[in-house]
Amino acid sequence: MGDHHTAEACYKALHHKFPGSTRVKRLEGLLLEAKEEYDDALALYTDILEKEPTNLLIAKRRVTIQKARGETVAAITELIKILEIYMTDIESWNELADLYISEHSYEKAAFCLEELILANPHNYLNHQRYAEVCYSQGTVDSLNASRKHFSTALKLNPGSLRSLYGLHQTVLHLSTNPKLKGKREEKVKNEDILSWTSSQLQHKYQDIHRCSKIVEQYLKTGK
Amino acid sequence: SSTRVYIMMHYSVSAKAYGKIIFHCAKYPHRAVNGVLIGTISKKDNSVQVQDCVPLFHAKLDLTPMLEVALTQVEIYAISKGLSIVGYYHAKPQLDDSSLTDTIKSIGSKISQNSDVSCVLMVDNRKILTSHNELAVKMFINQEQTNQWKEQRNISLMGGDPVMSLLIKAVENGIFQKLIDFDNHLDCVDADWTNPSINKFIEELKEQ
Repeated sequence: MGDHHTAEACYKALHHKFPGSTRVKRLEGLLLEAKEEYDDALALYTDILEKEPTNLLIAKRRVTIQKARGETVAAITELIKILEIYMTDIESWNELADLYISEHSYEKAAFCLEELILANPHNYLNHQRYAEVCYSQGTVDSLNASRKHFSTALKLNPGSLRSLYGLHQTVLHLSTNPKLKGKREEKVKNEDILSWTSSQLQHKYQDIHRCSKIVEQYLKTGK
Repeated sequence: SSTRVYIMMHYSVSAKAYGKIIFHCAKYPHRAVNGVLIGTISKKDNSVQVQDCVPLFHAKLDLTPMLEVALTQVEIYAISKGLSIVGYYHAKPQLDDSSLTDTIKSIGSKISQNSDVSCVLMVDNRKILTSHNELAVKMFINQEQTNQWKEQRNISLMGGDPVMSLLIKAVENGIFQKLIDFDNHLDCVDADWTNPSINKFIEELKEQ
């Protein structure tokens, strides 16, 4: 919020009451980060980690500073180290996926998202995100994976507009891709899914006056 | 697309377009945000008028499916208003970084495929609320023959400094919270990414 004065006052009160506390020390680090005094913050965190090498929260603060400085590769390396110890930490897998995506390392991002799906297969967001990464890879195999996971996301959350659009775009590409004509017989044809997604989208927008005309035209494109 | 001879064109940005760019940044100060610029091209005057913009995303900017949906729909919207897509804006989450990345260049190139002109406006985060007489954006133009993006300073705000001050004041008054981007629309279909009420607000602001 930018209100460093109040933050400092709170920190001082806590430090007075709990002088040896690591939690309070972390707040001191956060204050330094807020003031962009990253080197001092890093020194503080390194100090804490020497005494408490398994402090996950502090280790993550190091990653945050690297991110703030735009040091994506360093942040990735640091996160991988964290995950070697804390293999089930969801937040770290999520963060690592985001970092890989920002570097266009879609395969590595996909690996992280697969871990998240394994950990929590009923969370539609994991499938949706995985599908978006697969779509971005752009190969026929990845588009088929995308189709599968957008479908799963929709099944888990039928209200997800993002997954609906995602599935629509995926089958649009698959059904108009000349390389796929005459290839393997599928249980459900892309063209049939396309009809379904189109009618679902029309239904969603029927009461939304301004956008419905745009969506009508959108549904006609690319076919 | 046909080969184009590179000519230095002057870009003028409307209050509506610039206002929504800074509102978008103000709404999500800790994230990257981006959007599409729409407007008109005047070949005989060698100028481009950025009449409006559509804020797109504040999360997962680097993934393609929703970007494709958004670009198709924004183009349809632009045509319905007699406008065309003339560029792309992007603000990075880091305060001092306004450099182009490969993603930004490729989105910029993708947008310029179907357009006669295209620019990328990179937001200078430090300047958004502090500069009352200088646009808080850096413009990059793709020079076709070299396929490089070079910074050009041939850009101005329609209405000049008074408009800029009014827009900054509007940010301070919190109106930016009502801005809708395509991401908001995907989360809630009722949210209108054409932003009619913010557009009206900015028009009324200029008349004061």
